[in-house]
Amino acid sequence: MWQVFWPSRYFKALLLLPCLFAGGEVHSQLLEPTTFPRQEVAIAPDKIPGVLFPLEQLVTAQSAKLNSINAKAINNQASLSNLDTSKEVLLESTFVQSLLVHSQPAYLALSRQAECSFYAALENNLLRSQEGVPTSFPIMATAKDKKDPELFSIERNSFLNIVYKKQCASNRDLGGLFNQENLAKTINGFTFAVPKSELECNNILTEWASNAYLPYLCGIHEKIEEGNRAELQLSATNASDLLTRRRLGLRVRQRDQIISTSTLFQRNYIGALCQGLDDSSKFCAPFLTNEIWPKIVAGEKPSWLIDRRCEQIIGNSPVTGKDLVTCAAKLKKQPDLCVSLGAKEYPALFPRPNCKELSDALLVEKLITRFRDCPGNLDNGTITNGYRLWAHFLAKDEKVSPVECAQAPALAFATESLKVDPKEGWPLGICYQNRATEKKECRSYVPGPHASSPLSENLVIKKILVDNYGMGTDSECKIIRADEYNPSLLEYKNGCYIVYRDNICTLTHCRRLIVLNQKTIEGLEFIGQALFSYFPDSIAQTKSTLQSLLRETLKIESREIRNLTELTFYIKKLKNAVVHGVGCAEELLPSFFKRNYLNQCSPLPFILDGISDRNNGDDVVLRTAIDDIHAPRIVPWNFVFNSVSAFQEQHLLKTWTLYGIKN
Amino acid sequence: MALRTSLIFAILLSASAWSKLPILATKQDITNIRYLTRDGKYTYYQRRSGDLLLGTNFNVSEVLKAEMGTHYTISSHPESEWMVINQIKHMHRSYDPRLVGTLFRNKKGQTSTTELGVGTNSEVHLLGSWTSFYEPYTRLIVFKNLDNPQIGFNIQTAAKLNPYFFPTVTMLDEQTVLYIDMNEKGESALIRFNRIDGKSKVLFKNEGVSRRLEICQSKSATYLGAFPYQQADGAAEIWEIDKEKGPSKPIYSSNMPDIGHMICDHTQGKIYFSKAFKQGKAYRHDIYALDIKSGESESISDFRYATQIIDMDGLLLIPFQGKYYVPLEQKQAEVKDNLGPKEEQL
Repeated sequence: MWQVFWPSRYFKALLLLPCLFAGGEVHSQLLEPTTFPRQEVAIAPDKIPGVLFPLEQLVTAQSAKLNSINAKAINNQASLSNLDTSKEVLLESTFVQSLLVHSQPAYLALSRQAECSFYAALENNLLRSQEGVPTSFPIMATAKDKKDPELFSIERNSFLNIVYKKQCASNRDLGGLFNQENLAKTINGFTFAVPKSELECNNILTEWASNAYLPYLCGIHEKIEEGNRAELQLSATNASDLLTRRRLGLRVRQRDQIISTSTLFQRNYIGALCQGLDDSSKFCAPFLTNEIWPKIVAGEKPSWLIDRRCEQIIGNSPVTGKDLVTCAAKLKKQPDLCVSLGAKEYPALFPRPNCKELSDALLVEKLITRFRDCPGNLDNGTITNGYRLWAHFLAKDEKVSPVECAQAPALAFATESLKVDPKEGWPLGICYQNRATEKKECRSYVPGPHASSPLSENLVIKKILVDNYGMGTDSECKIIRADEYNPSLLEYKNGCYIVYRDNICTLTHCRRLIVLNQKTIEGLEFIGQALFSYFPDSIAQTKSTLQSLLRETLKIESREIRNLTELTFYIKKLKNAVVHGVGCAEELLPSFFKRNYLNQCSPLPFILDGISDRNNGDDVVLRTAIDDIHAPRIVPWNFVFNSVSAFQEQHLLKTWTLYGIKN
Repeated sequence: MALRTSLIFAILLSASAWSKLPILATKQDITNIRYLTRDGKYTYYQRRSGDLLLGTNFNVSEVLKAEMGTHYTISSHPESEWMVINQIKHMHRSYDPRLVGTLFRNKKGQTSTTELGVGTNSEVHLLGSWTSFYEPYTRLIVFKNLDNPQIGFNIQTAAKLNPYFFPTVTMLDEQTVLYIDMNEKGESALIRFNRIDGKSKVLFKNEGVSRRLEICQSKSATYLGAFPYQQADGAAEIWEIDKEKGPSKPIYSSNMPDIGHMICDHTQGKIYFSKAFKQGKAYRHDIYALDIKSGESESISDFRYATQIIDMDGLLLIPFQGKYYVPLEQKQAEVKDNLGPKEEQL
């Protein structure tokens, strides 16, 4: 391997001892014999007891020497007009040594590839001297009309202009490809290959190492990092310090521009590449691991697989790239974190799989899950599964709070169902006596709050109260839990409150109290049960099933799945395809549900969207309609087959209920 | 005698391609049967129309009537004169394990019923003289005396974290109940409830949330099992419970992710449950009989994916791929395939 091993700054200093004190060449292409005689070194070399000499003193000595050189150089400013560019223009050797000590090992490895790589690294702020990224530095050059080289100080851009006129002219062109106008096109032009083996990974890294674009890509990475640091500093900078704030703000804006023109995967890949130049494991580990967390951080897998979970862990929404890294590290280190995370806010089957199990499932899953739901508050698995399938095929991306988590699926189901069957598409209604017509009227509603849907419970009740109970049109009805509602508090004295009295309020099990200006409203009757067929229960039933609703709304093709071979083909070979069905909970999740009686079956809809290779290759990724959407389980295919077989025996038409669907 | 050969509900045993175990087959479609007494006297079965029927010698009568799609389950005990019927409407249109049904008491072999309440997971206790069922939305365990359903009591469970938690329950006597509950952290515990003072005492608390607890009772002892929820790893244990002190030394422990579902009152000295074993890199499951004295267990099925076992009126049955299999260990001679002499009247 070509990588140079630079484990620490002091180790580098050890290796540089001969250069520091013997004035030897470190960068052979760049250095002339030093103009400074050995006796100018602060510490006499004959007094150095080899590598045991305190390294800090060595670095301090070098630092003092460079300070002295800089002090001399600053009085002799160089420019294109006063230098004889036909003669050699060289970086001063102590400055070069300083770069070697203070730069990141990965970037040193990069700059050692070729002389042009060194200059490109310097151009892209990858190399650092003792004072950080140098904007000007000492050089040895010859003034016009003089014979001998002397010490100058020169601005970085002027120096690179001189160098690029004489050599490495292609660096100018490369730099142009990475300016603001061309950045997106340039980045999208790269193929960021994902390695599948260590050998392949090392080959990819070797190829990148000799790629002339690499210093510029690493420059992009450094700008992002710099922007992140600037953002942190900005929050701690006094508002009156306008100059600093402006400088930091510029860096943040530069970072944001890069973020807006690249994908997370591209940014993370470049980051890993630049970090891994001196140590292949830094680059390869995320790709070769059998865990999902580093793959998400590396951008190989989408961040939405864990970002909802991470919002809860980090307490920040939406999560930033840094949050994702922190969160992924926690999920990796604390497997039990996943077991109960979100269980209170988004009720579902408990316990959820631990992070290790979850990682195995997420590695092979296909379902797009950019939302949250809560099956515990929604007592019909048909609605839960239906919404999950819609969200997958329509690539829905929604932010759902705990109070809305049951309503969003129900509202989507009701809306689609009413489109297909306006009369009987949705069975839940609120009935009341219309005071104008003195007739009983009923309005369809979907339990739960929504800001704008005319079907939402809060807006339907508001409409009824406005029309019949004198409620002001500018008031709103607020849905709250019984433990939040305290009529003695001032905030509850006026207005409309729909109080959920039960701990678990589902579509069909929810006792409510409706209060308008402290008066309990009587006479509203909540009718209907959320009952829907998943597959037809009778030969005549051609609509009002989830199967028909999915077919009409998504234009999907479906195919019966009877064995593991068909399932594997469907899931692994067909893009976007997933498998859904209904089976008995007792066979599907035997660790949770016990069969007590003959022909007992609790029908449970589910989705299969992955085949796990972790055991004998016959495990599948399962999301039942009572599992949290972000907590898939891995179960043997035979559990699924048993459960569907058992349900078939109890089905009214003896239907086989496992289908693959694709659009 | 000619009539006796045209048995409507005779039990037949036939072999399967999957297993050496005989399949339970009946002349009546087995998927319609809800309860079959071991002596073959009574068969409860349902029609697609939603009716529950009782078949006795040469006679069929209606027990309950409901709309199409209604599903029934029945719990009882070989020594009980009572059946507890759960009438579940809308099973095919409400896909949720919390779906509750209306529970009825029915005297074995008779057609009259008495409504007991609304709930799920009915069990019979104390040789079938009591029943309990669970109301998942209020989290109440309801107990009813079957001889006099007006006598009863409730236990409020705490399990809020898991909306799909169903407690296992056993009555040690008319005053003492053991049940499993789950606290707000998701930890399960074995609790003893004393009906006289209405107080509960935690006898055992599970460490962490990774294992499910279940209780089962034989004629002479009560057992507690802890089985992992997650099949990739985990360990299982079974203890005998002292009614005052809780579990003592384990009578069985395993590093395998056993599923459990213990049956303790079928054969004296044996516990039947779904046990894990390793095949290649994967875990598989079969039904094992654990000898309580020696601690040794022996497989009584050969499916590799047998995860459930039921005891129907003293007959052990292993459900697998929609069929029911009879473990070889059972004395098949005891499985009667005749109905005996015709009864005078129902």
